[in-house]
Amino acid sequence: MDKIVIENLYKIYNEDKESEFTALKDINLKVASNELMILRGVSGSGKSTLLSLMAAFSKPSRGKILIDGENISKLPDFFASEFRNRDIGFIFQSFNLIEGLSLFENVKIPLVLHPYSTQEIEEKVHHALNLANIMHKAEQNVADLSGGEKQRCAIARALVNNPSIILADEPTANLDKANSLKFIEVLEKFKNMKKCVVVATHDTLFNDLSFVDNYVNISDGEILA
Amino acid sequence: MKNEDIGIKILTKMLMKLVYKIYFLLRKTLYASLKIANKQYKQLRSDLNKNFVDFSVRLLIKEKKDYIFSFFIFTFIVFIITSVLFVSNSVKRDLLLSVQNGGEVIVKNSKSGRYTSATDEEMDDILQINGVEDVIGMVDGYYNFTQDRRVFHIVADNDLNDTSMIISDDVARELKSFKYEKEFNFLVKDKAITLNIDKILESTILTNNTIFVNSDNAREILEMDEDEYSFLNVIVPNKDEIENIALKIARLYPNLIAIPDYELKSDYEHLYYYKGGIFMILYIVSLVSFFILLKNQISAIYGSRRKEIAILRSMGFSIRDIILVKFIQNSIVAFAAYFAAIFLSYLYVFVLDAPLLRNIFLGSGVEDIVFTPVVDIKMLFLVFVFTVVPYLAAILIPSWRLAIEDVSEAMK
Repeated sequence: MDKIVIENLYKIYNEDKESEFTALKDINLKVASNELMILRGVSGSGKSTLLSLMAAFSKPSRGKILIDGENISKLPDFFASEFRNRDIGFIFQSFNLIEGLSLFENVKIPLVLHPYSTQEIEEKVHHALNLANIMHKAEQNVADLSGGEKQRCAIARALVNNPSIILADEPTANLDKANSLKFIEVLEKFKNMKKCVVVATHDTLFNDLSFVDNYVNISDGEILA
Repeated sequence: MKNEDIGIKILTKMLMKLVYKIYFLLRKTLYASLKIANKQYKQLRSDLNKNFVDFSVRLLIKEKKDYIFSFFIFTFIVFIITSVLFVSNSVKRDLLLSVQNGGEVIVKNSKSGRYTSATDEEMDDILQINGVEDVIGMVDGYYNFTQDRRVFHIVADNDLNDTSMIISDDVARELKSFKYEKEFNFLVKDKAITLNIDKILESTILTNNTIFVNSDNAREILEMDEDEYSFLNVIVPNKDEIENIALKIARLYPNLIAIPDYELKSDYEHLYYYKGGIFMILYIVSLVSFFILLKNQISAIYGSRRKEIAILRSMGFSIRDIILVKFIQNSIVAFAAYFAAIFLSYLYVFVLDAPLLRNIFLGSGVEDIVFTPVVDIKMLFLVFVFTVVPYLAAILIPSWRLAIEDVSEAMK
C-alpha cells in the first residue's frame, strides 16, 4: 500500500515576481509503507525542498501530497503540526538540536505535546536512545557531543514518537566516513522496523545498498526517469 | 558552625521552599486556566499539560541570562512606579484622614491677606446659620524652638491635663539632644511653661514635628486669648448644604475664609503634580528602562531563538504552541518581577521609610518619618495593566511572526 503519493507537485518561490524560481516541477512519486527510498541529486536539485513539503514544513505552490490518502498540502497549521508530530521523524543535515539542553531533553521534545506520565516519557526516550545507541550520553549537554553523537541524538528524536515516516535530509553531510557508515547501518534498522523512509542525499556511500528499495534521481527540480 | 551561618542556611532553605511553592502554584494555576480556555483545543490534542509547562520552564532556565536581565529591569521599573505610588498614597491617606476627622467646613480668619485668629463672636454667629449643627474652635500653631532654630507644631488636645504633653518621636529626639528627656520648658513672654512628656508617638505625616498639649497651655504657648481660635470646624449634617453654608459664612464675614472639606480633599488628592518635575524624570527613567527591556527580549527572540522556534515547529509544535511557550516563559518572568517589585517597594517605603524618595515628597527637613502602610489594589492593578500586559504583547507579537515563518526557511 502506498504511504506517500505525490501528484503534479510544484514549488515556486517568489511567484509572479522578477525573481521567480521553480524549485520543483511536476513531481509525481509514490512511496510504499515499508519502502526505503533514496532521493539522489546534486546540491540545489530540489531534494530538500521535496522533503520539506513531505514533512509539511511548507506548502506546495500546486499539486498534492497524500499521506495515507489524506492531502496534507493544504492542511491548516494546527493539523499540519499534529501530522508532523504524529507521523514524521525528520533527521536534519545540521542535526538541529537545542543546545543547552541535555540529550534526553532534546529527544523528549516531540513528547511534551502529549499528556504522558513522567514514567511513560522516560520509557519512550530510553527506548529511542537505545535504538540510536546513545543511551550512555543521555544526561550530557548536546553542545558537548561529537558530530556522530549529535547525529544519533537526532535519530533518537526522530524515532521517539514512533512515527510511520522517517525523512532524512543529507544525513551524512556533516559526518566522517565511519559515522556515515554507522548511519547506513541505522537505515537498515529502520527498514527492519517497517518504516517508510526517504533519504535525500548526494553521498555516494548510499549507492548500491542492497536493502534500499528504490533510488530516485532528481535534477533541476524534476524527477529523472 | 556559627549561629549566623545556621540562620542564613535556614533562611535560604525557607526561601527556596517558598520559590518552589510559588512555582508549583503558578504552574497549577496556569495549567488550570489554560485547560478551561482551551477546552475545545484539548479535545483535539492534549498538549496543554504539565509536560508542556515544564518544558517551557526548562527552556526559560536554559536562557536564564537573558531572562535574568529582563527580570531585573522589569523589577526596577515596577519598583520605581510602585514606590512613588506607595509614598504618595500614604501621604494622601493621612492628610485625607485629617480632613475626615474635622468639620464639613473649615473656617479661618484673615486680615490683610494673612490668617489670624477666629473669635467666639464669629463662632456664635456661624452657629446661628440654619443647617449648622455645631462649631468647634480649634487651637493650633507653631512654637519657635530657638535653641535649634526649629519650629514645633502645637496642637490643643483637651484630653490632656495641664501638666503633661504628648510629643512625636522626632520631637522627642530633638528635645533629648538638648537634655530634655522628661519635661520641657516652653518659653513665653516673661515666663516658662514646664510640661511633662507623657507619651511619645510614632512620627507619621500627621504627628511629625507635633506636640499635643492641653488647650489652655496651647493658648498660652501660642499667645492666644481665651476667646480666640486658630480655625473653626463647622459641622454640617446635610452634605448638600455644605457649599451653601460656606457661602453664607463668607457673606456674613467677608474676611472669613470658609473652605468646604471636599475642596480640601480634592487639594490633597492632587497634592503631587504628577505631570512635571521629578515625576516626569521618574516616568522617563521607567519608560527608557521599559524600552531597553523590550529591545533585549525582542532581539533575543529574533536572534538565537529564531532557529529554536523553527526546530520546535519541525517537531510538531503549532503556531499556537510556540506562542504558548513564549507566553508561559514571559509570564513567569513578568509575574515574578511584578510581585518581587511590589514586595521590595513595600519594604522600601513602609519598613525603611523610603530614604531619598521621602525627601522628594516631603522636603529635606523631614527626617525619620513613618509612612502609614496603604496598599491600593486598584493602583497595583493599573501598574500591572501598564507594565505586564504591554510587555507580554511586545514579546508575543515577534514570537508569532517567527512562528508563522516557513519552517525550512527559518532552519537555514
